[in-house]
Amino acid sequence: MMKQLFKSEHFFEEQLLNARIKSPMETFVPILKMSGCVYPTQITDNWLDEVLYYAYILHEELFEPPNVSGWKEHRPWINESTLSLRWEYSAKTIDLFFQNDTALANLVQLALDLTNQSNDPVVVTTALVEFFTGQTLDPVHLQAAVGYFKAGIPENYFLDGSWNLLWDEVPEQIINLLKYLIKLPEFQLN
Amino acid sequence: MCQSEHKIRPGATLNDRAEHEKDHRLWSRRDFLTATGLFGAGSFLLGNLPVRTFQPTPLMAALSAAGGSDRFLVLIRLDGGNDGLNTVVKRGSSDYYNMRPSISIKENNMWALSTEYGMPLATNALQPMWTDGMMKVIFNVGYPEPNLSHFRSYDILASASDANTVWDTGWLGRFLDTEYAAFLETPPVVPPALQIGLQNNLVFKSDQANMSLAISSPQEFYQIAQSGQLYETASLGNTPRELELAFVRNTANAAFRYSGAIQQAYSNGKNDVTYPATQDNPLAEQLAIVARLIKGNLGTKIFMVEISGFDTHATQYDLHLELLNQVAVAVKTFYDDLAFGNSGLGEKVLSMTFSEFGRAIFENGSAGTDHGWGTHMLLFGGGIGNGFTGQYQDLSDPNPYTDPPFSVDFRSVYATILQDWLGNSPELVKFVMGQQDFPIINGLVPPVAPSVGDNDRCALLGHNPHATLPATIEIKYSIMKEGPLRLQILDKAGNVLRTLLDEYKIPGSYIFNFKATDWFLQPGTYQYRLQSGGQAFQREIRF
Repeated sequence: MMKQLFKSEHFFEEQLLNARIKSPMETFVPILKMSGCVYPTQITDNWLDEVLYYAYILHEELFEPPNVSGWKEHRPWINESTLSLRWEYSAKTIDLFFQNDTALANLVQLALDLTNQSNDPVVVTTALVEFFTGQTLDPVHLQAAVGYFKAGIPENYFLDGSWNLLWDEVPEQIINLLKYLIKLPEFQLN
Repeated sequence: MCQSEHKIRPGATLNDRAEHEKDHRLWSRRDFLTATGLFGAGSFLLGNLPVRTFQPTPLMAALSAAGGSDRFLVLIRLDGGNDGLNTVVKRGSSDYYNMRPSISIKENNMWALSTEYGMPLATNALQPMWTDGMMKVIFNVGYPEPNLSHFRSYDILASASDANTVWDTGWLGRFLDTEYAAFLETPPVVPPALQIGLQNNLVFKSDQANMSLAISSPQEFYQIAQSGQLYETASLGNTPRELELAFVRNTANAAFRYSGAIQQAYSNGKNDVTYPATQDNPLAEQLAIVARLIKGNLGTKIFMVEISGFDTHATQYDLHLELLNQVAVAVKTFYDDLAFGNSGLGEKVLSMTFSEFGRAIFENGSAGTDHGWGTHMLLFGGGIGNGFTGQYQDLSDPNPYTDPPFSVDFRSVYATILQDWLGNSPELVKFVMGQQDFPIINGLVPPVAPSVGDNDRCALLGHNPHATLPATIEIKYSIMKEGPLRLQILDKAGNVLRTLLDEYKIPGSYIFNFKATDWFLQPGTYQYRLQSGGQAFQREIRF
């Protein structure tokens, strides 16, 4: 059943307006799936246990709706408590990548494919932001996002063109960026 | 050369990372407590900092003057590996000029620190600070078996580990952990540390949390400081997306608990001097913010700012001098601002430059320098005096493949700051430095004795039998700063048995009348613990 669930397009319905607040599962799972990770080789049962637990804490116990009418969608998902927990658990979900080399390689491949192997950190950040959130950011937050993506690599390596997406640091850079994106309000919208 | 350094990151392999992250996945009681959302509050992460959500309120009392707790520390990160030899120059050294034919600083381009040493004229803004006893130089700071990878060496400096050991906490994170033992349970309303510009910084990371509020840019800071909100919503319109985005932003704003304190301090504080324009000197803007928050009584004692560009592998001369100029002007302006109006604040703020490594003593073929070992550290502060510590690199018998050994271990500098500047006991300093002893550099900074009980946030005063009520004990405590508070009874092993109080308190002195039978506790020996403002105090109690 899990296999069917994760093969389904349920979590990826086109929401053209980005005007719908994600359910907890929609917050956590797409991070893994959109990066190219598949069940069961990267998205292991262990990973699923983690994510299901997070969703449970956030009141979405999978296959256990609170009543026959299902879960209340939309704004009730978000309050000060659940929003801050989403950030915390999204970060933990992202940490799962570190357990699997292929998962990390998937992230790098994604960046390579989206940007045609660009070595411009702004181009790469913008592309990843748009891919994972479906939205563009205002200049201040985009600048912050680029900063997170650069992740402390001295600026000269970007300026002189020596940095590229094949550097060993790139998986960590992408994860750094993701951990910033998940905290943005934009990320909660679908 | 440099490329190979990026492939080597000892201690940061995926295996280490996986093990490291696996620990974080294990569900702890704390996670569960957090998840149940006490008072309908959860934890929020801004820059990896978990904070609780409560109604935002204005900042309260002034700083306590006990011990070292009215002193501030500002770390100035020189990002990329600062060339110490061109920062503090050995005057008249033929060796120096021979090894650096095109990038050396000439005698007529220096101002004198002493007959032996000088600094480039680009830094002459610092000259009055040197003359007035507000600046010290520590020569050739490094550590054994230095690592020349930016990331690994920075992590070593941030964590204060040995070169071959990987620690995932920072020296100031561990220190702040001791100050804020109950940080997660009863979070303070003021950030323990504040950093501008560097994200995911190991320096402030502790086992509990990242103890600093990380603000990625001055622009992000102004949004919070001027509006009191993390995100603005006024510009959003009425499309379905904008309405939902506004909803989520408003929730995020309500969740961010530090905004009140920051806004208050920003409004109370003021820059009394003119700083250079941001586009000319980004470091100056960061220090202007720090000055304003210090003067505005934010309550945060530790700050970190940064300036990047020091990785001068090529065409170093002008680039490096420009950066040094920015540092000099920014620091001088900062101290002029602090001292404005004879406030005496300049004497309470110690600033320290640090960089992940230095540069090689030989210049390379690109009119630059490659990564090297030791580099000089500069300290600034009113009343610290002037002078040199350590030994300058011996340039007389240079080996082009290695650098002269370091003269001062950076961890001695840290230990000295923890003990003498911030006023901590040697035992605590040893704990923070990872149970290792590093010699204190006597006279580096004016020492202050450790305070007896750091009570600037709360105090557990004690207990006594109630004068009239039978079988009742009065537990007395004081709160100096408002915030969440917990009073709990623990068993001898430290397990929480009963939570007597778990609520938001305003400053004041309180008595809790504790009757063991009301709480279904058998007579015996227990502990009781007060947690407030991120601190925890514990005493034994018998009934």
